Amino acid sequence: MIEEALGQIPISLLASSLYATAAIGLTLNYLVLRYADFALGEYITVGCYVAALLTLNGLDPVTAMLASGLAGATLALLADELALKPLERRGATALQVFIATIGISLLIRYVLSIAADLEDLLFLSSGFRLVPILYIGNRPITNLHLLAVTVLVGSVAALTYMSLRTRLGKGMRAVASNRDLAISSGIPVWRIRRFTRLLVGAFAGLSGALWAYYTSINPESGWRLLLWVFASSIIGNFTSFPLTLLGGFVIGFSENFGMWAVSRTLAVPTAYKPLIPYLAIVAVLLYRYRMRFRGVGEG
Amino acid sequence: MSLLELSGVTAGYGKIPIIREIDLRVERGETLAVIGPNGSGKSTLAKTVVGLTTFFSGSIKFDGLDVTSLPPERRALLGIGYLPQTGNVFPDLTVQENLEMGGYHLKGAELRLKTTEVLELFPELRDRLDQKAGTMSGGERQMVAMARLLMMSPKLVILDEPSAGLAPKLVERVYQKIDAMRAMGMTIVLIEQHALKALKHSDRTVVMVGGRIALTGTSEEVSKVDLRTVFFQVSRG
Amino acid sequence: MIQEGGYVLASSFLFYLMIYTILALSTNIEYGYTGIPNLGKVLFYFVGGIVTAVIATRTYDAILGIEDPLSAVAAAKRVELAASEPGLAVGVFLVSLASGGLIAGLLGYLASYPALALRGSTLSIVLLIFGEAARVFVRTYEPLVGGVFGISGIANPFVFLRDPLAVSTAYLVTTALITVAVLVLVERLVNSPFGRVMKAVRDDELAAYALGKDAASVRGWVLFTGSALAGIAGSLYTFYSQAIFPDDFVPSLTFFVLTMVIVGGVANNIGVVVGALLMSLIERFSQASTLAFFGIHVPFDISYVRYAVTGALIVLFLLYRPRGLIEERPVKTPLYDVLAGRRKAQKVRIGG
Repeated sequence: MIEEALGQIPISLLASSLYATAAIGLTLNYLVLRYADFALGEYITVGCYVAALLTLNGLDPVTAMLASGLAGATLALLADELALKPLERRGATALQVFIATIGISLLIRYVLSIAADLEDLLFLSSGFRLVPILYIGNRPITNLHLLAVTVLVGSVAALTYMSLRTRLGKGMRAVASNRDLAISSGIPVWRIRRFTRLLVGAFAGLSGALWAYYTSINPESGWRLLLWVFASSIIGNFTSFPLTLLGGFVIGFSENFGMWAVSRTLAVPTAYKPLIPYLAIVAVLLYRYRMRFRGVGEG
Repeated sequence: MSLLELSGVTAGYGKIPIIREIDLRVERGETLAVIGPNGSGKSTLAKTVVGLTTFFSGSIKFDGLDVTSLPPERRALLGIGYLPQTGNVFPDLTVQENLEMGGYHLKGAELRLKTTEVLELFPELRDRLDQKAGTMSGGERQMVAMARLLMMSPKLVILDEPSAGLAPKLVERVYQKIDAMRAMGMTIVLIEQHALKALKHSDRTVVMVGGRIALTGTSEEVSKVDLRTVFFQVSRG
Repeated sequence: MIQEGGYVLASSFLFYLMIYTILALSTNIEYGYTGIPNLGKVLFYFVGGIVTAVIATRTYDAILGIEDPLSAVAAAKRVELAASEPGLAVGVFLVSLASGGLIAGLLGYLASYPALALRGSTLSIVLLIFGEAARVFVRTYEPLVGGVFGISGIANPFVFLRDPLAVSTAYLVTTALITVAVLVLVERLVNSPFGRVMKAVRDDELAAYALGKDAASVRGWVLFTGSALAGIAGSLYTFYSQAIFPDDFVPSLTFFVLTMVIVGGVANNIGVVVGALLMSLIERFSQASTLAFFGIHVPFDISYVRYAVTGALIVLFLLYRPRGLIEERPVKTPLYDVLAGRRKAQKVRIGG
């Protein structure tokens, strides 16, 4: 029993790292650019395919992963430059921009599906070889787990360093803090916007690579993951990076560890897995709502 | 050549014009006060010079350049410095970082030099450099806002009601800084609700009523006029 | 033979068009008029279907004493009973329709409750996730509606007519009447003082609060109505297909319906009907069966094109024609008609 419980840790860690890395990008996009990017899932999917195809052709996984990050970054930037930025310039509301990202998401996903169908790549496994390193309970920590945690830690470290020590990073924080002032005081907001989009897409692309190394992928992979990435950011209230990270871990652990616990103790079939994270979100939202309510009552 | 020249400017928000047919000049080194009752368009005038309003007609020339169709970020780079009434600091950034953002286009040594220069004028900020601007009191935040603005080495400084909401002692401090800026030869447009203060700390004054200029002259001349008759005149459409 | 095939194609096209119209109208009152992007739309459509399936099957099962409700035998028996007892069949139909609408409406109101204070995009994502969670639950928990394989034998109220053509036509006419009723209802709703409040909440929430209108409660009511309409559509659909399969109810449907509003006309109900027509045509022409009919062959799954086009339409319309094809008109309350000179103001007697 304990063996199995401990054995849920590696997969929970992997899932959490993945969700958290992508969720950092989602939250960053919301903080600086004021919209939730529904197309993030597709940047993840593109990352999946790039990593899978490159490793199948012999490229080492780390370089392939970096290529995924680059691919995601490029796609995110393109989507913004071609559609979202022009929309904002025409005076669209935040809601309309959000709906536009839904449109972009559909467009990318199904064009990708058509391309994959034509090339018979609808289901793809990467060329990544899983190497167990040590066992926790009955499951191993593998090279993939190390890679995932490294990516997460690296992403967080890089973002933290950039936002505290570089001009562009501080500019991002300034735009997030008071966009109107940034504009009227000559800060290059458009350059900062492009930089932010590159980061957001890169984080998504990296997550995609990790996912491709873990399991077989299809054009819907990113979309499936997107819901949990959003859930992580929702737990982080779209404002706090530490909470977003926590959110990623809450989702990752509740999905795996929580599912295992519930299936062992209450004999709930594992097919109910997707419900667990949902319950976690509802719990967090209700808690926050009651906190707000209570505050009002005591006021 | 005047530093700032407005000719027949009509501007507002959305489809509604607020200020109409404004003709205005600001000469280098002078401090121009803009006073008037609430809703007379003083703030709108400031925002129009900065480029944050809907422009209907007229032209704006800054330092000889026609800036009428330039976006706010370009105007800021040309040297138009704007201190809005609210939201004039980056609340999540420290005082140090606020200053750095003001001097965004300066490199390493230049940035340090400018920061030192500005802190000479605002010595009280020296101990607060690591404090988040949003956690500071109104008066202190105003200091940060002004210091940030000066980091941009603006050719023209537009102050939108800098003393609004501040206790009298803090109002004094703000005006001390404004006087120091004047002594340095800066060109200032001072928008104020507080007519008497503005008249005392400026060279020329413009009185706005109902979106139009009702009176101009040297501050001394204007301070002799009974402004109540000017303020409460019925606006002519 | 061709006539029959043609009839089947045409009647199926018409039926889906009407369902889409109801769904699009329900999306319009939420998103178009009140600015709520309810990305969980398919969930309420689904709920209407589930409630209907449960009522329609359990009622007959109880009467017939059926032991294994998921079997084909049970399905056949239910249909046979419905055919011989038209009163029962119609009664079950009406009760299901009403219950489906009501429960979906209540769920719409409830589901948004903890999130009513949340930002638009967060609320909509929560609703979308809720929808997916519900779909996963229903497809896994077999006792409810047969899990992933669904349940069949949900008898159409007109099976007593025996002739399939007659049944189909009668049901089509009924659906048409209901659709028109929904359109009239929605038009009445939005051309009323409440319609103005809806737009106020959409355009300037702060101003609405200043006028004493509680935006959260307005959203609650609008979500109730919109979800109820979606539930009714779900109920109608279930009686049409006489079965329910959870995997039919996916988020893509929500996006498809949203596009009808964006393309057809935001906050314009006639525009939305046009949008429903357009998207129905796109759907029809991106189906393998239609292509086969015309002898066209493509080397990939043609349904991908449907959603790629949907995505492109959303982006293009938002960029170049954000109000949709047919634009929004002012709220037509009696006062508007007076101002427009079309009606004389009524004299009001004051005091007494």
